Amino acid sequence: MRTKPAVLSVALLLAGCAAMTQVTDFGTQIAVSTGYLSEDQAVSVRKSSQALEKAFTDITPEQEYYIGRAVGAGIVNSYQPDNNPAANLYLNTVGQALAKLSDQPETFSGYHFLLLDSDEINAFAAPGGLIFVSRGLIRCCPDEDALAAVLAHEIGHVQAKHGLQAIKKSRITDALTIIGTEGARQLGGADLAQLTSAFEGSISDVTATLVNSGYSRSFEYEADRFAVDLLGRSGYDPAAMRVMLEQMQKRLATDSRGFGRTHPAPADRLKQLANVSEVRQSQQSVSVRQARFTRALSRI
Amino acid sequence: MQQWSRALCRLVLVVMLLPALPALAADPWQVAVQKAAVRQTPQVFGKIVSNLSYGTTVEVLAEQKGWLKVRIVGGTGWLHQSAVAHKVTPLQAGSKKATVSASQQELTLAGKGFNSQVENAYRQKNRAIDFSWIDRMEKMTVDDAQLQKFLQSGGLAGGAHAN
Repeated sequence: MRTKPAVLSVALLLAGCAAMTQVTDFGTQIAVSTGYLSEDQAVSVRKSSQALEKAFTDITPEQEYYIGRAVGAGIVNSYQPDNNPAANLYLNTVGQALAKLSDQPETFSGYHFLLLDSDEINAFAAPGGLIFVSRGLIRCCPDEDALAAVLAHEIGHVQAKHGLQAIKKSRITDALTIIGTEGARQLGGADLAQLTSAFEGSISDVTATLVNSGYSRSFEYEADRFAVDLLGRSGYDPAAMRVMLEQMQKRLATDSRGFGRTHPAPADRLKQLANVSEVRQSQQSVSVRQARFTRALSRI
Repeated sequence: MQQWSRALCRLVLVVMLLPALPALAADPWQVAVQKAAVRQTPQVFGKIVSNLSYGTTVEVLAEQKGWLKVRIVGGTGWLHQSAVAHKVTPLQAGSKKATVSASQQELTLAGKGFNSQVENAYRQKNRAIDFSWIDRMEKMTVDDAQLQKFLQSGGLAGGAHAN
């Protein structure tokens, strides 16, 4: 009877390994049964995919940075940046101060923020820390605390690696497809270009998620909770998140673009934050923050 | 029967732990950001005493609330733990981890992933996508002194001493 725990552990370990390669096995079984792969080639594909699954999940900070740059370039290709030095300096000051006080103040190339010249209510967080906020979303912010709520929410997406998680499914699928093809044809020089295209496809997948479909509700709620926590520890009023969402709710009533399409309704997000209570701020601090907020953003 | 069972348990444990041992030994702490500030004290606005570049291996001497005390030339300093990782260098062809592969070249590329070379290839293929604003964005950096002053004047945390 004493051997049971050990046997169980081994069984669980093997079950875990089996789960990792389940998708590949299923794919290769079909390929073998339909004659696309020989049994030997199928074994080769399984081995290759095990190695590549490992390689692909080991995204280094430098790789995350380059993915983020390409995703960011795609965003500014679709949305015109607002070349307003004062506004961008202010966004970067608020955003970088928040990031400093978070649990992950460092990324490969740091956090950087850019104002988008668009009335659409929208924001994007590219992997690695490039964050884009539209003028329309800034207009949902009556003060610096509400702006901090917006930026903290986006920092939350970066730190939870929500962008990279959007890549996962497709990049593994792409990689397996390429390897499957290689297994059938044996290896050739063009395969490298195909694998590069798989990376290119990954960029498209992240961008499509950010711009078109949006993250899951659970990711959005997670980013909201992160933001409330970061606001509190930074000294901002955590209830500013609610203030911002209430403003957004009013403005989205007549605008179904951007957040209206990609995010849960503000009312649903507000329900999740029902327990967040206001933290009183000193009048002097409120005055200073309001003055610099107005100075930087009143003319956007 | 009991002795046999104990022996089997020990064997299973050894088999399970063996693969982990080389991994632990082979994965030292490395700098995971382009430029990591080593600070005199474990505080986000602590005085910077040294800067380390990406991939630099660091010797960790102690840990304190998200900060790592590391050895640097001429002494010690503190790195925030978000600036380091156990594995930041890409998988290289020829390394032990790259042996289970149908193509050494593929693994090298997969290990390298997206780097400056791949970005250049991507830009060649997608000439309409302009990276100049991304380059400008990366230069939008507010230094420690300005951030500290901003926090302080706004009555926010971190204005004086932040962990």
